[in-house]
This record gives sequence, structure tokens and C-alpha cells, in this order.
Amino acid sequence: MMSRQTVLLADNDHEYVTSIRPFLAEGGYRVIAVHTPEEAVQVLQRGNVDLALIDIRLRDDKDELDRSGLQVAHHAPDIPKIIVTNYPTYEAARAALTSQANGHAPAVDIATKHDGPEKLLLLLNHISTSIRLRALEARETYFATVRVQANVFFWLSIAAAITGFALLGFSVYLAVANNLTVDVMSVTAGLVIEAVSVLFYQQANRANQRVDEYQRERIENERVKRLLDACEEITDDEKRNDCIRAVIDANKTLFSVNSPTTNSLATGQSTP
Amino acid sequence: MAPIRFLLIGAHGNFWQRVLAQAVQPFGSLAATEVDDLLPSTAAQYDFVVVDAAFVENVPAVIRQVRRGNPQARVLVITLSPTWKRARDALKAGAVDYIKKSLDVAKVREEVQSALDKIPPP
Repeated sequence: MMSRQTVLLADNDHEYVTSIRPFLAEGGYRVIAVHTPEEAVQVLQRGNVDLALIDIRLRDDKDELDRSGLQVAHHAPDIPKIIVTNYPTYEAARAALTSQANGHAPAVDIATKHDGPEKLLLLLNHISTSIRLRALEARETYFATVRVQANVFFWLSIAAAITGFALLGFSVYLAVANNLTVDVMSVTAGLVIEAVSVLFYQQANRANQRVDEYQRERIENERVKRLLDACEEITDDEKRNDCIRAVIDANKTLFSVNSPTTNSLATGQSTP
Repeated sequence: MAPIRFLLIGAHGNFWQRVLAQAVQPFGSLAATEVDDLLPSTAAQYDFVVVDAAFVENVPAVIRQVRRGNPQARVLVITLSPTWKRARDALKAGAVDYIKKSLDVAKVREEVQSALDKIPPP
């Protein structure tokens, strides 16, 4: 199982932070809570968070024009962010999700606080899953190199085995030709080359095992990705969320986070 | 710059189509189709697709269909009654923008220009 992910929770509403924080922790996330745009920017710039939940009115809840949360979201474009708001509008959704001059949108999603912590956690789990799938795709090139290395080691081991065998055969021939006087040097060289061949073979084997492990993980993740894509096609919000929740819950071993559904089933408690 | 090929997905021949045709005239030419006539290969022939949400039942699905056919295409969604949820779904499906319908040619042209400046999401 992978390590827990860290979520930045930026909201000036202390009560909201207090209510949502335990839920995220219970869901398997490490939470860093901040209450001002400056603190949020500092945490993002330190780069030790995987995801961020940012209130759009981070400076002043009463100010209809406050978009300080969006300004914060422009920092650290590589960290996926969800904009959270009590006052969802289509303009807010546009501002959060349309790409800017740098080609990045400030956020990957927008959610309303009215939806409650369970939906928020589902969103986080979904995004977290997508990040891991993308990370796995990014390792494709690395594992292609490992596969080449495995091939090179394998052929080196074959070449060394043949050379060692030939040297040992030559030593036997010399011994027979010279009245069973063994040429220690050529025997030793033959044995050393055979040992090197075994080492090469082991290296090739290890590299192949790593590649096989990666391939298995990739196939499994590809299957999850296809299921999540299929869920995205569902138009009904509730059914789509149920579908995403079911896919993430059914493939828990791939992800570090625990969904509230499974927690409640495991403990026999109802979700808050 | 080569003329941009625009496609409107919505009702064919309505008043708003004429507004859009005038708005995009400086950039290129506009064709129109109804959503039922949209073929998987159609999107590949256009650089910029405008989806009129009034005539499309499942806007995110159409956006994904267009983007599958042409990942480089910019998709702009226009609607008379915008909501944050529909905006969210459209933008997450890959639209470059989601705007309110206007009959003001200059305003529509401005929106198209703004959408042209945006990079389609990956």
C-alpha cells in the first residue's frame, strides 16, 4: 500500500475546518490546515502537499468580490486543487476551471460546501486516483529502459557462460594433452567468467521481475482508469458518484486512501 | 494565419447561428450540424466547435466525443441558462470555456477570441 497523501485545507472559516479535518484524516489523508491566503501560498510553495482544498473567499467570507482562493490556486500549478465555496456560481466554476495563459487552470475541480464532507472526500479520492494513474504512466519510459537493461544483462550472461565454458573445455583439453597437468590459470579464468555469467543472469532476472511487477500494476490501473472513465459518462450526479465510489472501494489495494463507505462497513458505524 | 474552421452543434439555421456566423467571420468560416448528425469523424474536420447546450441533452458526452475525434479542437459551450454544475461538468469534460448566450455580435466575437487564446486542456 502506498503512503498517505497530504492535503492542504485552506479556509478562513475555522468551524468548517474543524468539522472537515477529522473526516479527511479518517479518509486516510494527512491534513495541513491554514486560514489565510499567505499561509496557503507558503505551504504550496514548500511543495510538501499532494492535493489542496481551497476556499474561494479565503480572505473574507462576506466579500462577494473576494477571489483570493483562486489567486492562491495559481501558485504551484503542478499540485491539483479543488476550489471549495459556499456560493457556487457558473462564473466561479469558469474562473476555477478554465485554463490561463500558462496553459494551467487554477483548479481541477470545484465543490460546494453544502454537498458535505462525504462528497468532498469522494472528489479527493477520485483526484488522488487519477494522480497515481498518471504517475504510473510517467514511469513507462523508465521501465522501457529497465527492459532493455534486462535484455543486455541476459545476452551478456549467455556470452560469459559460453566463454567460461570454452575456457574450461580448453583447460580440460590442455590437461589431457599435457599428461593431466592442469593449467590453473585457465581453469580459474573459466570459473571466474562462469561466476560473472551467473551474476549477469541474476541481474537480468531481477530487472525482468521489476518490469513484470510494473506491467501487472499498469494493467490493473488501466482497468481502473477505464472503469472511472465509464463512470464519468454517467449523467446523473448521484449515480456517477456511486459508480466512482464503488470503483475506488473495489480497488482499495491500489490506493492509500480509505473511503468513508468502506470504513463504515468495516466498523459497523454510520458515516458522519 | 490559416482560416479557422468553426462548427456549431445545435439547431440548424436558427437566429443565433446567424449571430455566431457574423461573430466568427473575421477568424474563418462556420458550418452547423445537429447533434444527431454528428459523426465520430466530423470533429477532425474542425478547429473550433461551439456546442449550443439548448439543443444537446448530454453536453459533457458530446464534448468528449468531439475531443476523442480531435484532441486539438477547442470546444466552447454556450447556454441561455448557465449553472455552476453544468459549467463544471462541461469544463471537466474538456471545454475551453462555458459562456452565456448573447445576441450581441461584438460580445460573442470577444468570447470566441478569448477561447481561441486558451490552450485546450490535455
